[in-house]
Amino acid sequence: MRSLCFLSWSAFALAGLFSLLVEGGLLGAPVTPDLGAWPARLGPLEVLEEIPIEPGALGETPPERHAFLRVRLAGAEGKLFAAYYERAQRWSGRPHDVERCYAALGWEEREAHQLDEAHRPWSRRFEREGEAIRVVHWLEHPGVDSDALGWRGLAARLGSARGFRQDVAALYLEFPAEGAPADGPCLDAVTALEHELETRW
Amino acid sequence: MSAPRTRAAVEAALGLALLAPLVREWFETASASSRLSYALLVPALALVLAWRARGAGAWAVERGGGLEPAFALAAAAALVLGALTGVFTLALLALPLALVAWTARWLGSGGVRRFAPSLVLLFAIVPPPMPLLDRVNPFLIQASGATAVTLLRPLDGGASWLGSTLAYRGWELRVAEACSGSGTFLCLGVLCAFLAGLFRLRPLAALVLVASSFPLTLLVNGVRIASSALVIDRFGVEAAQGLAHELLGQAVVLAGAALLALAVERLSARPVRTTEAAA
Repeated sequence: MRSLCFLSWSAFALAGLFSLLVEGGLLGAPVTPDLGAWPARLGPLEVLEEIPIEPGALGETPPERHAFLRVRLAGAEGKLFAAYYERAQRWSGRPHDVERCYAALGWEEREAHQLDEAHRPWSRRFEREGEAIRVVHWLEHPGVDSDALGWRGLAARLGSARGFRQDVAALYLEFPAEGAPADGPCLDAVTALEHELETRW
Repeated sequence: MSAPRTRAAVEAALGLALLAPLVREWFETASASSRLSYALLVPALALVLAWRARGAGAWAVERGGGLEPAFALAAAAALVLGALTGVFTLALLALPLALVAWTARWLGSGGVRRFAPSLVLLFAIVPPPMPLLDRVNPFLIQASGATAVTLLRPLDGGASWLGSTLAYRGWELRVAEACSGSGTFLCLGVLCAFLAGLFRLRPLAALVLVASSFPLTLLVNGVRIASSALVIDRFGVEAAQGLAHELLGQAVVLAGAALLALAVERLSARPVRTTEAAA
């Protein structure tokens, strides 16, 4: 029993040391991206103008950086929101779920499917008082090609020190459901935004 | 200080040093979020329970059980998985798990039993996972809103609730997510667990008490939203902002705590009556 106790405490010490390196930012320190300036065009996505946002609307633990932009994609005008979280909202490894935020605002989800791409972004249709919107949302981790906490995500994290970074960005595109871009242009926009963000962190 | 005590203190200090970034983040996040600030109370409440248990007589230190390695390994697993997945709550779980292992190491299984209420309460420093809260929140918001509308209907038959917005007497009050009631629910839940440990309730009675924090939260949060609407309607928007809003929120939690104390008084009084009747 003594040797078992010794082994278990040794495992705890090693795990604690590993955790100390990761949580202390010694294995992959977060890099805060500049979300202030965007090019006029990102792949198929046209960036039109910045939308002012009240700081209080971002909640008690707001993102460290954010951008709220009016955009146009495949002829449809909509909004792009990008939020960068260094640590503050990662109680469960991710920021607040977008669909929960919309539900809290009175939107009811009518349809949802995942787009067939590396990030597997969600496309959801919400309705409220006769109004309907389409929201495409996903999470970006630096150097990790998946938003899932599955084996693939873990393998990507173990594959490079950058994968241990704890920071994350939450992005969503919102369009009026009537005339919203199809899945194809949305995927192209997601890819373009991913590449743009990769250059910034 | 004797040699074993010194060793125990050094081991505890080393363990805390390894977990220091987690403890720091826990403190910063719990301080910043009104929904999670209840967690700051937990160590103090656990200490009260531990202090009370400490003075309840001696116990035999029985070492060699499986508790120590089992909980130490569980703490190690929580640390590794939490760091790999970036799930902070999972990594933080290592702290109470390691404390149970450390208690078993130095005080034996008898010590773990003795301090069980405080050790169990310490697990409440780990906030419920966000995905779980995200699923509870919409229900809490809807139920709190429905309660508020029920309370306000006698004053305005057209009062209604949509999403998180209350319509009352021609104007709209959008209730912030922080006021969804999840913070009140967690705070009252921790108070229930503390009272159950303090009054040494039986497990079933303790479970009933902790479960009662849910309907109680719906009631007091509904009253909070309805009273905010009445205050705004009578005195204007400024009267329900800033300090006044915070004071109203605190008063609601205190009212809930007082109701809980009454419930505990009833639950803990029952066995005494039985004993008296038997005598």
